[in-house]
Amino acid sequence: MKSVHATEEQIQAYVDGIIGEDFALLSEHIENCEQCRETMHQYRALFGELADDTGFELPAGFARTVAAQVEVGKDGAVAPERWSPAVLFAILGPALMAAITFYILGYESLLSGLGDFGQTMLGNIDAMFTGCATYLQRLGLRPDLFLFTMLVLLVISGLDRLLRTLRHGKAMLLA
Amino acid sequence: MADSHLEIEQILAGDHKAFEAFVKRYQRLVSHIVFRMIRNDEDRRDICQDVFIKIHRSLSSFRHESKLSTWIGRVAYNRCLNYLEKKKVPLYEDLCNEGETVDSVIGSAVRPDEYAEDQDRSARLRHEIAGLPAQFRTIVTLYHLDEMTYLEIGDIMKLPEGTVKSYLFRARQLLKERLLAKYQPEEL
Repeated sequence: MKSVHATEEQIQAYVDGIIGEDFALLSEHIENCEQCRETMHQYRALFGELADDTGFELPAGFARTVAAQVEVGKDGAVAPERWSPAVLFAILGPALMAAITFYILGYESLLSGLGDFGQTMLGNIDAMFTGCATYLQRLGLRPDLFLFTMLVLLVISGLDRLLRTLRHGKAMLLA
Repeated sequence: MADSHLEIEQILAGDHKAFEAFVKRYQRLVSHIVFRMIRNDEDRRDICQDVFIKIHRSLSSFRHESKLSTWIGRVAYNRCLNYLEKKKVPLYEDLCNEGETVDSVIGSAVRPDEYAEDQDRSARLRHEIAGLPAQFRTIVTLYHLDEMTYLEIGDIMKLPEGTVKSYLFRARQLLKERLLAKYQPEEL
């Protein structure tokens, strides 16, 4: 340690007060080495300046303004979100699974086995599908193509969300 | 921890004063992150406001699995990332070409100097900090001003502890070198 200068990393850690196994040796070297002592003083001055809290001033009354904005009942009010994503997934997940099961197994055969109730449901579902298809056709859209497009957009949106989350995990931004 | 539970319950119950006190307590941390990440002065205040509105909206999803300050810091950091993404600010990793060292990319991306000779010490330092990449600026601030540990900073920025340590070292070394290149050691 006496013949070789301390590294910048060691000197930074020394000024930070992060004490490692070689602290005594490092301390002794810095005391006796003019160059390392000089570097240590430079870092000490820099760290002192970095710990000075300036240039972050928010306007006076900032907290009051923000609190007023979220207060329920005022313009632009935002009520606290009670529906966490987990709850939404818990509801949407089984619903989606049920819909897929219905589609694969054939909802007509499933519902026709439930007697009068099944027949009524079948009638309602048929009416709903027919209504949607008619509406889309009036708009000049093909129902099957519309459904396919919506599914593709949903998948793209999900993938985009996933990629953004993954990328931000390692994001190293240069602003 | 019990205090934060009570405070959150009060806010979720619609206690306006409790939320105001909450904002006052954490606005320093949020402003540190936002002011370091965002260069545009006009947008900073709006983003700070957005952060607290988002926190208010999602406070019910806070599970007390991490420190409240870390969670708040993460919300602020993610909001800044979204802002920078919308503004199409290039990602640091996009600028890192193969074979190019991290420090050369940082050096090439620094804006030209516009500092005045008679700037005071803290203004000179702020100017040099502004020349660092956003993540470096944020790490330096969270470490020195908010006295956060490597682990807490990593939790906010989704970075491994070793990476935080390495970025902090590089940022401070760069600051020292740049200041020494312009000023005498005794002026530091």
